[in-house]
Amino acid sequence: MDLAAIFAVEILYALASLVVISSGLAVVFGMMRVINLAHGEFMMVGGYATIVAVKSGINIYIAMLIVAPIVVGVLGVIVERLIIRRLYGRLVDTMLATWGLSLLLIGLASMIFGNTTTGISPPIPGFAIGRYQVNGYSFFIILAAVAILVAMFAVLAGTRAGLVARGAMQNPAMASALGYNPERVYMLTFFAGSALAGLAGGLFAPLLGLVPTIGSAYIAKAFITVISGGASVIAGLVSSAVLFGATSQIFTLATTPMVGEIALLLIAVVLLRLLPQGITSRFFRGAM
Amino acid sequence: MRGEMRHALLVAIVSAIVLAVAPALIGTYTLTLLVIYGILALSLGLIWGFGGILCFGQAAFFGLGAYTYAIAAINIGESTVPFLLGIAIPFLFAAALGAMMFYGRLSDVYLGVITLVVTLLFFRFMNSTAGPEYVIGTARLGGFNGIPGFQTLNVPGDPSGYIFGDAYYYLTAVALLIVYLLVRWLLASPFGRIAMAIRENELRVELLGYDARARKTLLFSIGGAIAGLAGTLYASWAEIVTPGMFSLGQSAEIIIWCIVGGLGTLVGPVIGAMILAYLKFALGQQSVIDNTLVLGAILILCVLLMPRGVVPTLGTELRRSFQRPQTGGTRRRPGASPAERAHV
Amino acid sequence: MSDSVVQTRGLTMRFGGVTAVDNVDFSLRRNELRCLIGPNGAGKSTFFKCITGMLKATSGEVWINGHETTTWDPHQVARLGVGIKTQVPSVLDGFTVRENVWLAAHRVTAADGVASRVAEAMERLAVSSLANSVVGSLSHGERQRVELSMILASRPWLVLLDEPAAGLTAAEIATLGEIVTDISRDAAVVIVEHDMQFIRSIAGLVTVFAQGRILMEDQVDKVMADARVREVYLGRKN
Repeated sequence: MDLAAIFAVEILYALASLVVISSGLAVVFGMMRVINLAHGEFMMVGGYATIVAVKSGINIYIAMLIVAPIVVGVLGVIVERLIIRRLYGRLVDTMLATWGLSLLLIGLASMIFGNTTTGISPPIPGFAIGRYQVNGYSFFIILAAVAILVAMFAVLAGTRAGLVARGAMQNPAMASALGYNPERVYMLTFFAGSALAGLAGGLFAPLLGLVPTIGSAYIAKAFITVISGGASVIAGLVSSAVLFGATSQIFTLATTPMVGEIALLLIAVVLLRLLPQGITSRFFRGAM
Repeated sequence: MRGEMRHALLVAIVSAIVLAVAPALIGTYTLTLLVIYGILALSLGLIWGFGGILCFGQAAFFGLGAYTYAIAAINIGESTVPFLLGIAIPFLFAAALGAMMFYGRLSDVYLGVITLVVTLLFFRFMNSTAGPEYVIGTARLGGFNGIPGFQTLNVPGDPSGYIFGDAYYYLTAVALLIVYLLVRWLLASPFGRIAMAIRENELRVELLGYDARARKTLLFSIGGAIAGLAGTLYASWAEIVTPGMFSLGQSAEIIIWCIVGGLGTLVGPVIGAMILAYLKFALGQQSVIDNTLVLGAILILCVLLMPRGVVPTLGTELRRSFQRPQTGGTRRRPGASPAERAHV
Repeated sequence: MSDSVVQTRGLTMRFGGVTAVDNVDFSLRRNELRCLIGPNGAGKSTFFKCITGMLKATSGEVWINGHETTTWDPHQVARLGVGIKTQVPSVLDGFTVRENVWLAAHRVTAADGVASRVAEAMERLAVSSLANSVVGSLSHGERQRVELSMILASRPWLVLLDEPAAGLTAAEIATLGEIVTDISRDAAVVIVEHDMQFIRSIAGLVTVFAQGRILMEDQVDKVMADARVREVYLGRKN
């Protein structure tokens, strides 16, 4: 019984962390068809922003939930203005340029922070379920994932800005005909996606020791989740996070984390073979 | 076609002279690495520039070739079979991966992501193999520390006849020239023509009755084999293989070499690799600026400013300043067309 | 039925909730020249793509020369000896005319015969003088001819043409009529077409599509005079 509860929490946590890691990428890919290969490094910057803020005396929640998203969001806007904007419609070039950006950020971080691991401790202590110890912070991540999804849904479905954003993504000409500047929509979307990446980086800062190359630990999972999800931002994110989170966690619990990751990749490959446009091309079609 | 091969021979002869003279300027130890990187760049230059296959994970085949060689050399001793395995295993792995991707009709972007993720998995897997349970035959994978202490390349049949130093440099230089000529020959053959046609318009080629998926898979595998060759040569040069060979940085470097050197040419990526690798070597001597940062900046600037590659752009500019202005727009990546391509 | 070289049985193609091709039974005899016409959205192009393997039908069967090709890919269909021209001229823009035609001839010809096959195909479409030009630099009409020349070079016994007259000048359409008649001398031809003038000029049997189904099949004149055909055409166009 205790074991079952632990398993449930672990699996839920795996889903939630996939949602947190991938949400920023999902927004940018789903809405702009831009694949940001520097997504992992955006998370890394969010992590460092959190740690620097905490070490200079700011409350850890403010650092994670406010400082990190703002810092990375601003970084995102700068990147969008300087690089992404010039490459719209050139998917492959965008991937290459953001790959360059990822290397640049890694280099910059190792010059500033060095190649040593830094970290902060989780603000929530663990507790026991029966004979097993649970990481209390896991619940915070699960909560954050739910909050992110609810917020994304609320913005897209409930606000004027969300409606304009969806309109501009589907038909830029239409949006500009209605008087909205698609360039501004793109910029704001990229800001939102980057801020989400920063938030994710902040949230994971207390969990993993931070090194400049930490991005590569996230990026594969984030890509697989987003690409397999397909074009619908929220439905795609949730459906593939459920699929991959559950399977990889089951394999991880049964064997080792490495096997879990390999299982995740193999499932993704099989899935893309069956549904080249992602899960939402067949299921939940038309969902957001 | 005959004209092309004559041109290729000329390029090979000039290159041979340059490679023979180079040791007067740069030590053969460093030169050997540059030549190996040249072979590696050639592998991606072939499949990307001529086949239009965007592989973000060419480092996977490079690392696989090196690890295969190291593991086989520890188990076997004499280096001939390990050397051949170091080419064959990446070839087969690329064939399996390519078949899966091309028969699945994955688009460019998905291709990039899948190859990148596969490379990343190799990297993370190799890093996690420090424990004694990760053994192949008598070879321990060694995790982060890699595999040292294997038999380096020897004269076939004579395990104690190590090839090293200057001799090893000339061996790799000859390997580069042979690979270049073979690839040139391949591109001049009907297979190469059809591969380029697939890059240009896959549907049309299919409608003419050619199986584009099978051909792309084969081309991708050949690219994998050449990258594997570079890996085996690297293993013998470095006398150690580490997970770093599978890193995203390594993959990015190969792509940067091709972009800087120019897609749609073969000599371009080779020169790009040699110049940039030497630059990196020179930069490595100082500690003010981080190497990765410079690499990233180069990649961003190239994509933004010279999407056709540095060498072709410079070439066009030079020609333009010597000739009357030509009509016709600039071409987009990847590569020049066969009709107007530089036969280099 | 046994002498039909192309046959579909209950062919249906749905995209989401839209049924583009609805339970079509179609049959083509050897060496027959057939036009498929119909207003925009009638399903004729979708039907064409199902036959060529570019789309896989939702249900029903496609048979070509005794093979069930329903789930085949385009290159497999082409290997049966079928020449296919797509709606948008599908040529290799970066290659020369000769290289384009060579590509078509190479697959079906022994090495020593390729050059003469290429020359002959270019001659028949009057593109010989452009042999060394890069196709991307040619006019729309010339590129259409290059594509037809590629189809000829592959010596097909069945030719499927999707809107070959689209975007051509009146003079070019007249030439195209002659070319098609020439091709149909030793191959069965299916043409999806919009242009009524062009269809008149090549005669043959006409199949009219409307709303994903076959409305009627008859000679050009009878089809043109038919009230139902006028209705679907004019009803849509006005």
